[in-house]
Amino acid sequence: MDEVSIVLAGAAGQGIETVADFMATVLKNAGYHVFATREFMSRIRGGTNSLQLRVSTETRAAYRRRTDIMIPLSETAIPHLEKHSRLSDDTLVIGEDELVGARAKKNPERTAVIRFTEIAKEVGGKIYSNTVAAGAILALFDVEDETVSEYLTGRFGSKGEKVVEQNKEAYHRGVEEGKRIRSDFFALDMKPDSKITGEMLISGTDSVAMGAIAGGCNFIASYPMSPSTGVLVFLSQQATEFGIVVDQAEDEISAMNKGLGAWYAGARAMVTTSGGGFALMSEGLSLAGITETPMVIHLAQRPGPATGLPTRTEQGDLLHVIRTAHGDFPRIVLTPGTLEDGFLLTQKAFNLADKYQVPVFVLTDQYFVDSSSNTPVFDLGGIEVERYIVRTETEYQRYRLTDSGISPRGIPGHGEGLVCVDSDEHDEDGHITEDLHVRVDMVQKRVMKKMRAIREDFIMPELVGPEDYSTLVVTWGSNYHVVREVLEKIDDSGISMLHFKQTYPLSEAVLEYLERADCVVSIENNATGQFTKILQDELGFTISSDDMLLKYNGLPFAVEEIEEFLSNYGR
Amino acid sequence: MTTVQKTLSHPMAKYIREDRLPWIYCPGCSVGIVTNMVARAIDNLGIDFNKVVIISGIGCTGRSSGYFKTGSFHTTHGRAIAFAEGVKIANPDLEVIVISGDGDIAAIGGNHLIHACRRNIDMTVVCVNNFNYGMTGGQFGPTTEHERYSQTSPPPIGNYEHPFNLVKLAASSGASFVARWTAVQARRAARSIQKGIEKEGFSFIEIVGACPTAFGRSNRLGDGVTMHKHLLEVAEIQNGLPPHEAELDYDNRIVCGEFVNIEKPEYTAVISRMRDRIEG
Repeated sequence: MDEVSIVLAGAAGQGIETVADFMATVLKNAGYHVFATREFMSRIRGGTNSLQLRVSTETRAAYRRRTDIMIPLSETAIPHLEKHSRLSDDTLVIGEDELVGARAKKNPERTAVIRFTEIAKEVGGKIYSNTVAAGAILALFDVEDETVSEYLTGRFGSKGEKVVEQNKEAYHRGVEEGKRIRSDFFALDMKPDSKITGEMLISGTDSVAMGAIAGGCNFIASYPMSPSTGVLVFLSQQATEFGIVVDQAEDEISAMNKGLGAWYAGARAMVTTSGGGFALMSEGLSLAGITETPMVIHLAQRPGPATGLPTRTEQGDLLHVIRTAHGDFPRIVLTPGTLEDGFLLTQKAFNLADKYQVPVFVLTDQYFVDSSSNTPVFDLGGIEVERYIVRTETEYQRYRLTDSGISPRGIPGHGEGLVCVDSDEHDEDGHITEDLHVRVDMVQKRVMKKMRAIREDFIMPELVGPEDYSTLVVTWGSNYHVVREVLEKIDDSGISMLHFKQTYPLSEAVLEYLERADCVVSIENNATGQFTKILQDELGFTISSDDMLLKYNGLPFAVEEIEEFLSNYGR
Repeated sequence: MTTVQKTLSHPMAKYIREDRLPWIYCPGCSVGIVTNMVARAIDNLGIDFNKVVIISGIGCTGRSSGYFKTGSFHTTHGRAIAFAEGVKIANPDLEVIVISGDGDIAAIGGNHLIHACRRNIDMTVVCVNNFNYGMTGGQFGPTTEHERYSQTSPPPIGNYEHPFNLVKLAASSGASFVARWTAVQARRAARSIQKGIEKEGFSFIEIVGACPTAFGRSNRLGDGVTMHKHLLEVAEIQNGLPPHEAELDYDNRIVCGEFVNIEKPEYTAVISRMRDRIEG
């Protein structure tokens, strides 16, 4: 066995996150690949939530249905997993007697009763029961005591020596129980890799926020909206360290306009939002369009329409970001699939926005931002904050007609010139005009010429798998790892993946990949195959609806679903 | 005998883009007067025009930003204040002035107004209140009095709604400087705008103006001169009156003056002070 899938399920507020953070951090530090993904209800207390922790010897950064070990923390936990076919007779269920007793009678080989709470009380209080549980699980792996002790000291040190010591004691009591599980139920033989120890354990949110910092972001204006708020919170907490102004606006309309005002005055601004909040920003987006003001928009998708499923995932806003706002103007949509993508693409978004003076989207989703895994420390080698601001002369014209379509961008107070901007159609000076010849010149400048330049700068999709594929899986955004994992398992299948990190606009260079395949299929986490519409629209390439795998129940794709779908294709 | 051709130039012309003239404004409109007030205020203060950004929204008053020889940004409808906040936060050295109408600032942009007041962010908002949406032909707006006529509140009923009193709104929302003048009190108004610019905080100056073409015609208020004469007659100067007493009854009594001038921490200054404190 080279991987194990552990699921904790219970009510919000029971400490699932705390215990998962404990296990994931310690296992990563011990040298295992870890991946944590959570699905939760839109409530702060109660309900039934679950967290999957995959521990492996290879990268396994995707949700899977199979559960090897489950720890229920509430009465609804087991039925909750059963409902989504995540429990089987092979799943080892570990828990308190009152939660797993019934199953123990039916399936004694795969049920272990551990009195977490009683043990915790003996150690010093009920509060330690999660640490006992973590100990029981961690005992299945090769984890040094020192690694655990370091974590517990770091985590609880501020609460005093006694709390740290009692946590350690609770952990050791848990380990004793775990040893019993190891001999009676579950022998794992997974060798850790010391290379992993030095890696980071971060979430998609962290990757986007760090990318923003690396992109020179110094202003964020946003209104809180799940699942995008994490980026606002991260940057708030790093604001002093990195000189970022955080503006929590009265609404998304304001957030967008503040961001544009900040770019106009020389800042590098971003907004973070989700579909509903972005709907309010579409007017401001159009303002960015006609005034050629740069903007970076992080949009973490959740299922809509309207309030939809606030804490769930979907890739349902691709067309929304590409098509929304009145009038014709260019924009760029980047769709990270890995944590490294999240970092690098967000960083690049600031440079692209500044260079082309257009809105640039970093389009993620709940699954991407709320999942975490180990990843090598980001290489800052090739990274640069590219600035395109010019010092203005007395005769400065904000919208000077140029061959490239890009007019050098000045900012007020920097140079002798005045920077005049108008949301009405304007002349080269930036003043309102109804000279319809000027209108045509301006449209050609800001739409056609710039679109051409942007297409030439296209970020090519990543091909995963052999060059001589017969079937090509087209996908984008957060589906990267789940498809990759399946392709790695079924090697020599003749199936490869083309993962789009830029979903709009597209370059014709992509056609070569598509036309080489006997069959092109698409996998998207939405109901209508939104990206296939873009492929059709941008490149005239059609994917039949029979060859689409679409999912829209609010959960990400499971490895098993991709396996099943792809079993119909290939050699 | 030789004749010396003397070109008379308006003293404020140096601040205005004469290439953009003639104005778009109707005869008898107050917006031109207000443009002059803002230019005088800047002139009196001797601010470098290069460091001034005039931001406006949409509507007749919204067009004024384009006439100034300053940095300017003509934003979308209602968003002038939100946009201006971004500018001010990104570069607090800029002098940020918003000029827009009552519909732009108090209806579609009302949320931005109250929150900018609450935050006390340093900018000067000059709101020309002419009691209706002029540019779209004269519909009732957030300041139109009860039972007044407009395209969308026609006779015999008139406006079902009740108006905002913008002075009360700005004051209760937390602005640190609040004044009201009519368009005919040009010197006093220019002085208040000047004070507003100097004030470190959110300043709100309402200028009650005339829209003879739309509001005036719908309500039989006479031409521009008549309307401005009326404003002079009903204006009652009450400097220092508590803002909640600053009544505006168009026919009988428009209380004018400076009602709020208080000291409180300004938003961008707080940010930089906090930063300094942490960085030691």
